[in-house]
Amino acid sequence: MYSIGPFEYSFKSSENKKIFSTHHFNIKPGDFVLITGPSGAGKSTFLKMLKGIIPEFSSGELKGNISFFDKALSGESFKSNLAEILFLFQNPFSQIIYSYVPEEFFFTMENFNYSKEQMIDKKKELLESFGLKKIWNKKTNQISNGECQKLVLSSLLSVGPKVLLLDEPTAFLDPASREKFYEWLGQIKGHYTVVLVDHHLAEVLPLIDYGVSVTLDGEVKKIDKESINVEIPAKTMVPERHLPKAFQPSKLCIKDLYFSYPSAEEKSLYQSLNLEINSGKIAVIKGKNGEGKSTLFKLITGFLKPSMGSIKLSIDQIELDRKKSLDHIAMIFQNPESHFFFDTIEEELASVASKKRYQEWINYFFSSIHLHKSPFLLSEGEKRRLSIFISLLQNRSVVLYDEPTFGLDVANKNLVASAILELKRLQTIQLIISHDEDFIQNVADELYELEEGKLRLVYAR
Amino acid sequence: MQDNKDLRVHPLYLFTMAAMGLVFILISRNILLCMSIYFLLLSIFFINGLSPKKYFRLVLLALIFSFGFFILAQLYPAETLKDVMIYQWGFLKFYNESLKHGLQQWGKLFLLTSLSMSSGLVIDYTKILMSLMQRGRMPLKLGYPLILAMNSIALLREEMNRIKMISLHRRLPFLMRVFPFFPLLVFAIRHSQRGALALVTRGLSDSKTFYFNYETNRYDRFLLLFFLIVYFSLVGLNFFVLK
Repeated sequence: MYSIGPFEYSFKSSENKKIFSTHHFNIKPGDFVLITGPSGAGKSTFLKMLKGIIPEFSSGELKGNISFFDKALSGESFKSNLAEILFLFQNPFSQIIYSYVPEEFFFTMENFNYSKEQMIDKKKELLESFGLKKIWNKKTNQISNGECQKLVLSSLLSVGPKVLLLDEPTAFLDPASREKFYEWLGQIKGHYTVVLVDHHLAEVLPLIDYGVSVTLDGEVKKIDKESINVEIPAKTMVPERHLPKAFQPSKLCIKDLYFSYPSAEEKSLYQSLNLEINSGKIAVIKGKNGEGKSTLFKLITGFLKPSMGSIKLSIDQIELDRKKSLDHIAMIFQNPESHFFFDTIEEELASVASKKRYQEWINYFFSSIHLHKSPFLLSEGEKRRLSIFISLLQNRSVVLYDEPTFGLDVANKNLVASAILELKRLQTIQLIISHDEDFIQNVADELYELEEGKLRLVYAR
Repeated sequence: MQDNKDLRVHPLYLFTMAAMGLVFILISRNILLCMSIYFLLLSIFFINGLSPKKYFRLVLLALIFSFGFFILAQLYPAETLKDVMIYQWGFLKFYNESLKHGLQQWGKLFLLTSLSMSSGLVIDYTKILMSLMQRGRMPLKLGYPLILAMNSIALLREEMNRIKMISLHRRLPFLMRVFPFFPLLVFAIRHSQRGALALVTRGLSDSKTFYFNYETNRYDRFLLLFFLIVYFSLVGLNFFVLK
């Protein structure tokens, strides 16, 4: 099916960065392949090469062999392979065309000239298995990331591709949906060729036949299943270091919270939601997609206003008003690019901390980084780390994280976990939305589940 | 999506009616005829889901905006309009002809502003493009990028709010907080790049089928015909009877 290597792809804009393979290997029909490698190595780039997006839509240069059924993937073959090779992007919202869910669902089938009857049959088949009924009448900008992922995936699968190229397909899914997704992958194993990038190694490893590793210097090679290490994050130890003065004791208190979006048909997302977190505590919230976890953060940061109830922050037993409390909160959004305002990484860091201070910490977050590079040119994992780093440099009493480990490999997850534990020692209140069970185990003092509009305490330690 | 089981008019016809109405108000000097076409269109907009609350908010904005022009016209009247001074209020002098002219401009400007703004709230431009593409009047490769761009406005607005919130948290300079040009530009470029790639990878080509019917139906055609009869009657009245 795929015949790969030797090849070399050079990026035009990046400092001599390339993706290459000195050996030849094949991917056969029905193979289940995992692409592994550290964040920023080029896993997504290699996946795009298997679709033909690179070099078809990139300025870089590909020399050597990557072919699909003995034909190059770019040029004329790109069009003929469209229905054969499915590609699911890392950020699901990148693939949304329409403003309504049904139109979005049918879009791929329409493009491949399916009849209305065929589309109805596919709808019956996929609506149930992907749980799309709940969102069927919604607008696409009202659905959560996980729901969006399911919508795009179901739309793409409806045209019956031969190859599925999946770039972190479960990154935005809650554990229950993720489990279902892996179950589904297990069922289709052998029927499709699946090549995926996924950091949930423990869950995906039983499914795969072999791996393809991409190293930091860009080398691509086929590896045995056995040589893929399932790194379970070790209990993060925080090294002793000189730390700034700890924050004054603070308390975040959410009382009888109700909130609904302006659209009339929407009932309140929360039913008298209550939460109280004290200084030095790390609370993690998990819950199904679309339950309102990210919305809760928008309410805490003042991005949205509650319909009823209150959100109060007290510092040193003094209750702050809404405006003043903003000065004590840092927020890390799901999309790291929302955090970048300047041309270079150096300018970003200089806007929040002194040079001495950020240089003291930077090696802790990045093994090597060019400070004059644009933050937008970093890999997804690096962008995530930089957005966390910027927020940590701000010295706030409350830090809110929305999926802080998305797009990160185990080593980077550990780095983030240890940074969070450092902040705990500074008596920071930290509230995290995460679906990453290992990470939750590593950092959470209190774990809550958001279910039917209420927060249920799962454990406190 | 458009099955027209209710009284809503097809957005393409709604757009046509609104455009014709605006042209009439722009050209006609008869404020009563302008108001007739205004109220006819307004009724159609309400049938199409214009919320009274939003409309009254728009009316307020349009009133303030057009009143500004009225005051300007009185402050700096054309020499030809300075005839008999009928009232003086401080340095503001009201001339008979200038006042008449100013009131007419105020009225027309108010009608134009409120009508165009409310049409923006009820016309679904995505459906217009879909309809044109389904009829083969617009190439798919032009229509879909336009749809993508229009639908990204909501995302752009959300991103702008998010960026503003972060800039506030980071205590960035005032100008960057109010208008975060650079991150928004990057977002727009990224979004269009990804969107274009999504269109290509999801198989957009020169031919496709449509699950939903975006065509007009008999009700739409009947309403358009009714509107055209009223419209051309008013045009006749304006240009031939009441000239």
